[in-house]
Amino acid sequence: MKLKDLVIIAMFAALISAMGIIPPIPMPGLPVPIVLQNLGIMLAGCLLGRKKGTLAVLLFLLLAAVGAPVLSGGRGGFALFFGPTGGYLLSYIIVAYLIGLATDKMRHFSVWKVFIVNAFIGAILCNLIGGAFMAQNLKMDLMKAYTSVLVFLPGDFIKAFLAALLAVSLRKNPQMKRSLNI
Amino acid sequence: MLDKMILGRFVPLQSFVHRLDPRMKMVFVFIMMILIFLMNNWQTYAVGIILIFIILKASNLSFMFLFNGLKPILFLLIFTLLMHVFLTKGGATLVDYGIINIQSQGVIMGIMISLRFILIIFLTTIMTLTTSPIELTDAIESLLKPFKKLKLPVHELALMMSIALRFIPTLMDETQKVMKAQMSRGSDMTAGTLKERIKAVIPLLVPLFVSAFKRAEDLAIAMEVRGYKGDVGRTKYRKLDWHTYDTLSLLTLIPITLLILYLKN
Repeated sequence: MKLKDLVIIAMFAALISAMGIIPPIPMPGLPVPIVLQNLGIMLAGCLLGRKKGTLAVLLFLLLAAVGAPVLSGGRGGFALFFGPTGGYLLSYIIVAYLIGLATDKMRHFSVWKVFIVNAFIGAILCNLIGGAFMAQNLKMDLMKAYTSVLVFLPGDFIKAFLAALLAVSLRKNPQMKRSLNI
Repeated sequence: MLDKMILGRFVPLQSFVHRLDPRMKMVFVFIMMILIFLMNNWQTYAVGIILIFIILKASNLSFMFLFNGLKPILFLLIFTLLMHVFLTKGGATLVDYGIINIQSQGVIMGIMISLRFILIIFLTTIMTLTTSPIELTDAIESLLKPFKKLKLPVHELALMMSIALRFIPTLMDETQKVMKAQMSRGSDMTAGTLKERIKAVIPLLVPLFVSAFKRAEDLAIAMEVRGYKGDVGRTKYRKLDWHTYDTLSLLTLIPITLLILYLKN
């Protein structure tokens, strides 16, 4: 792997960390706000592709594991992977890989096609995996866990749309074209 | 605030735990986490709590640091506890009032699961408070060195970790700067309706990403100009030193393991 790719992967992991300090957007009528950090996970797949995107997310999770406070809210540390939301963190790897896999195959990049990929993989699959892990870690019924993660879906769909918009517009930027060789 | 995000996590005091080799600390914490998952009764949890106290004493840290480590995940802890109290059944019924049904097994299970989580948080918090992220990166590179024989790119991984750690504060500053610049132009994502806030995300993230990728390209060029060609023929400026007390501290895991295995049921 080329040095430029290594540096881009590292910079993207730092970007995902930096997105954790963007203030959450409160959703009217829902208890959980929209946190932009997992928007970065979807973008890793859309922009960097299957291989580099997955590596960027792996690097980000590794930094979180060694205690750098890079998760939203200034959290970090290996223990979070065993908590109720640990499944989400582990699902990020699968999400970035699958989104990258799907978008790598697209000949024509359009907002709606990328949105559909992000919605199914980044929103629905992510919550399915996160909910299953939550059920396991909290030793509770699977259906109860799935019911409780429904509250995240509206925000995740909005993020899927934002990621699609950003991926399409960023890919047209000359600096991005040069950095990503597209 | 931003400095505290990164620099404040590591507390540079002088203590026995600070002087330990970061590799020893990583191995110790890793094995202790396995042991914590083996704990399943009050005696084993007592061993864990006593051990945390001993390590805390040896590191010269005050309890406030540990509780600050709990603060970001306090919601998760309460969530975990309440889930068990209200949903786990078994044992004597304590409260039975309409839809609420609390039984003793639920309370016990909730406390035990939360306690396990707290012990893991405390252990990893002490490690991150007494070891700088760069030291942890060096430790990971060193511990993963045997995997080089399996063609795993260990040096590249350590390099990416160091670069990412170096640029997290820079990109956080950049995020703040772009946010304020767009705010001064009327695009404010901290006020307004949901639609307005979501619209404000695009002008924030596009310049952030473009400048980050430009930085990455500049850095790659600068590294090549300084003669970087991978890890072939390179020396190391930062070195890790293993001492006798590192060995002795690691050996304390043997009696701890035996004690926990003996006490568990």
